[in-house]
Amino acid sequence: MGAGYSFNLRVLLPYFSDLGWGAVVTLELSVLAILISFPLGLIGALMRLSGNKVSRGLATTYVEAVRNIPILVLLYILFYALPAYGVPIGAFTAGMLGLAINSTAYTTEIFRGGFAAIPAAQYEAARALGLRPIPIFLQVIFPQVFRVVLPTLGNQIVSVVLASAQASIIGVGELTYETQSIGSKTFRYFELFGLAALFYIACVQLIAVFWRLFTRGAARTLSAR
Amino acid sequence: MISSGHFLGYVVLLLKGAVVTLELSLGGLVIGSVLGLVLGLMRRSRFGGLRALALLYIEALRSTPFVILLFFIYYALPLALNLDIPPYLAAISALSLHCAAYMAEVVRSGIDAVVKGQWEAAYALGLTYRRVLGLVVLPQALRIMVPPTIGVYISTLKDSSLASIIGFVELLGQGMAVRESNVGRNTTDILLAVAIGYFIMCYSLSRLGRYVERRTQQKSRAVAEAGERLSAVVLSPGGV
Amino acid sequence: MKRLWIMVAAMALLAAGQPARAADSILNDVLQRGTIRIAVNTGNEPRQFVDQNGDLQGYDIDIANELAKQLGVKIEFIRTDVAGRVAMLQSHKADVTVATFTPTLDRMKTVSFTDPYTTDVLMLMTRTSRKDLNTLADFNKPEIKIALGRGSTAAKALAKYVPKATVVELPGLADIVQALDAGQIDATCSNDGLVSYTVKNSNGKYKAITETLGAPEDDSIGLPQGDFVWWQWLNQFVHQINEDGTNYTAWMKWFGTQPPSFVKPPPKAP
Repeated sequence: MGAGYSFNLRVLLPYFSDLGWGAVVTLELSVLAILISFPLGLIGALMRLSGNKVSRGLATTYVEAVRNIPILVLLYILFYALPAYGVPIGAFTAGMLGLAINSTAYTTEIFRGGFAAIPAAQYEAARALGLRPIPIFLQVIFPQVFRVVLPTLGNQIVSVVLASAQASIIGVGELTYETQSIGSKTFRYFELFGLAALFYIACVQLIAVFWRLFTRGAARTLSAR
Repeated sequence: MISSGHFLGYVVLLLKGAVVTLELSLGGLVIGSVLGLVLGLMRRSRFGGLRALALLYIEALRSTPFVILLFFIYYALPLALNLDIPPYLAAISALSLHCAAYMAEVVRSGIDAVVKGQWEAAYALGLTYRRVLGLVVLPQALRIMVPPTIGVYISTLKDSSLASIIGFVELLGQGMAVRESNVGRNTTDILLAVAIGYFIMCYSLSRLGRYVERRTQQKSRAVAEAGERLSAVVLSPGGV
Repeated sequence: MKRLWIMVAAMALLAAGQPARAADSILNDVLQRGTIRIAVNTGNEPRQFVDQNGDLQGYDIDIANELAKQLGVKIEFIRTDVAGRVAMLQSHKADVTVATFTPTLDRMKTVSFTDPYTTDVLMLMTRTSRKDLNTLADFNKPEIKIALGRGSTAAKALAKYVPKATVVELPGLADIVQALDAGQIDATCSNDGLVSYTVKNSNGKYKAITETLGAPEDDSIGLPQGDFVWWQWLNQFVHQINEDGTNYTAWMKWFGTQPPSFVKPPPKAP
C-alpha cells in the first residue's frame, strides 16, 4: 500500500456489531423481495402466455417498462416522489418494494421461458389422457416448468441480494450503508469495503451451493412422477 | 409541476445528461470488452493457471454489488494507493471492470458455440492453434457474441446511473441536480422524465439486439451447415 | 566493524530525528509549483457555494483567496464532499482545506488544524408545517428522522443533544433536501450559515429551530498531518487575518452580523 497507509482491522472492532446488523438488514430486504416477487412472477408469466389480450398486454408492458429502468431510478421514484402524492412510504419499504418490483419483471420472464420449454406434445398428451386443465397444470406442466427454471431462479436470488446494496442510497441501514457510515468516521475504507465485498461473495457462493443441492433434490422428487 | 417554460430548459439539461450516460457506458463497454476478451480466452486456455485466474476474477466481480466496486475504487483506492481518482475515472473504471466479468462469459460461450467440427477440420487442414482461433473460430464466435453483448451494454447503461452517487453528472445526476435547485416544488415530472430517458435508451438497444439476433441466427445457421459439410469432406476417408 | 555500524545507526537516528526542513514541506512545494490546491465543499451557502455561472463563491472562498494572495500563488480548487476533506488531505491530493472544518480529536488522528478563523454552530432545520417541532426536546424521539452529510460533526452533536432521534445518512445535499421536501426525514442538521440561508430562500417553507445544538464550534484551516513548517505558516496567516481586520471584513460581507470575538475589526486609522 501507499506510503503512510497501514492495514488496521482493530480500529473497526467496535463497529462489527453495526456491520452485523447491516448484513441482517440486507438479508431481510432480499428475502422479502424474493418472497413477494417469485409468486407474482409466476402469475405474470401466466398472464403473458394467456389468450386474453388485456392480460398479455399488461404483463408485457410491465416487464418491458421495469426491465429497462435502473433500479436506482425506481427507488428514487418510490422514496422521493410517492410521498408527494400522499403515500407514506418509509425507506425500508421503498427499498423492499423497489427490489420486488424489479425482481417480478425478471422472474416473469424466467417462468415464461420455463413454460415455453415444455414441448407442446406434453399438453396434448395430458389432454389425450383425459385430464382436466387444472390437474394437467398442477401435475404435469408445473413440475416440469419448475425443474427447468430452478437454476435460473437461483441466479435471480443472487441478483436480488446484490441489488439490495442500492437501497443504501435511500438510507436503508443495510450492509453497504453501514460500511459507508463507518468509513466516513474511521476512514478505513479499504478494510471496510473489502469486508463488505467478502460478505457478499460468501453469501452468493453459499446461495449457489445450497441452490444446486436444492435443485438436485427437487429434480429427483419432481421427476419421480 | 415545474412551469412548462422551465421544463423545456430542463429537458435540454436531461438530454445532455443522457449523452453523458451513453458515452460513459459505451466507454465502459469498450474497455470491458477488451478485458473481457482476454479473460474469455484465458478461460479456455490450455494453461490451468490462466484458467483459474480468470475464473477467480469473474466469480469475484459477479458476486459483489456494483456499488461496492464503485465505492472501493472511489473511496478506498485513493487512500491506499495515494492516487487521486476523480468521479469520472472511478465510474468508468468500475463499469469497465464489472462489464469485463460479463463479457468474459459472453466470449467463452461464443467460443464454445462454434461447432466442434470446425476446430477438428481446421486442425486437420494443418492450421496452428493461433490460426484456428484467429481465422476460423473467432470470426464465427464474434457474430454469435453480438446479441448478448448488446445485453451487457444495456446492463452497463443501467449501472452507469449509480455514478451519480459519487458526484458524476450523467442523466440521473442531472435530474437530481435539477430537483435540488427546485426544492419545494413538485418535480416528480423530472424524475419520470429521467425514467423515460433510460427506458428509451435501453428499450431501443434491446430491440436492436433482437433484430441482430434474428439476422445472425440465419447467418450462423448457414455458416454452421457449411462448416459441417467442410468437416465431413475433410475428415472423410477419401480426404480433400 | 562494530564501530562502523554504531556510527551508521547513530547517523540514521540523527537523520530520523531531524525536524522537517523547509525543503520537505508542503509550503516549499506550493511556492515552487506556483499553485495551491485547496479542498472545498459546495452547497454550503454562504460559506462555499456555486453561483449561477458555476463559479465558487462564499466566505470560506474569500479566505482561501486571501491565503493564496499572501503566498503569491494561484489556486486550484478541489470540490469534494464533507468526508472528502479529510480524505483529500490524507492522500495529499490537497494542500489545505478551507471548508467550515472543525477540529476534533478524532479528526486530528489523521489530519492537522490551525487555530480557528471563525466559528459555526449547528442548528436543526425542519418544515414550517411541523407545528409539533419547536424545541430540541421535540426532536428527541425515535420516530424523528434527522439527516446529515456523512462525516460531519453533526453526528456527534446529534448523539449528544437528541440521542433518541434516528440519524439518516444520505449521499449528498441533493438527496437531503429532497428527502426533507418529501417528508422522508423530519429535519436536517447543519451549520447556522446554511440553515439561515436555506430558510430565507424557502419562502417560508422551512424554519430553523432557534435552540442550537451546543455552543459554537471552531472552524480552522485543515492541512495534512506532520508538516510543522506548513502549519506554522498557515497558523500565522490565521492570526494575521484575525488581527488586521481582513477576516472581519469578509465576515461582514457575507453574514452582516458580528463575527466571533477573536476576529478583530480593522484597526482605526490614526
